[in-house]
Amino acid sequence: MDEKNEKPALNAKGEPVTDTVLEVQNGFHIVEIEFELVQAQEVKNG
Amino acid sequence: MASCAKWNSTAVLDLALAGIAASNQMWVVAGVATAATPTYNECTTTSVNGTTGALTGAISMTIGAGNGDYTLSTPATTSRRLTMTAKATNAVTYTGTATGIALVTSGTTTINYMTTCTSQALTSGNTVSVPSWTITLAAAT
Repeated sequence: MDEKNEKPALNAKGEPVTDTVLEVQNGFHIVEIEFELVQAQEVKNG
Repeated sequence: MASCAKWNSTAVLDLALAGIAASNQMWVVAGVATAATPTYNECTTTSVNGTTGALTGAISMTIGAGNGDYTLSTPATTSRRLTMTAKATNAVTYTGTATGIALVTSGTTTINYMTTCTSQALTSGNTVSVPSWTITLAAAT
């Protein structure tokens, strides 16, 4: 193969193609349970 | 008198994670992750100005936990973790700044999950790799 004819692939800016590795933020969720008991009070009629 | 503890079944958490693992596509997007409620079209439509929208085509995901691209694990007794497999060298189709990753089910109008990524400038014609990442549902507190 003629190496003179080998050209690197170019991106939209005309630069050689490169790979970017993203840094992804993981998701973390805590299941929260919160409620308040309401104690019913018996009402007595007079 | 002993007090009760807050507790959850891991099976309940698995149901939620199964919903996420139903996503058959992952997208690298710009500008959407900071939106109050991201929309399906924003995440799956090619960016029109480089500030909002998809910067790649759909990255195929094999659905279902344990089916190759999603793995379930138990990092603590009552928590569950879904791990998305790495997807390397995906073609960048539009120049812009990647800020988010979206998991969607194609043909729907719903995003199943979205997370952020460190802001990275991407140029059309290059490639982008998404490393393995996780979603953890922790125990009830």
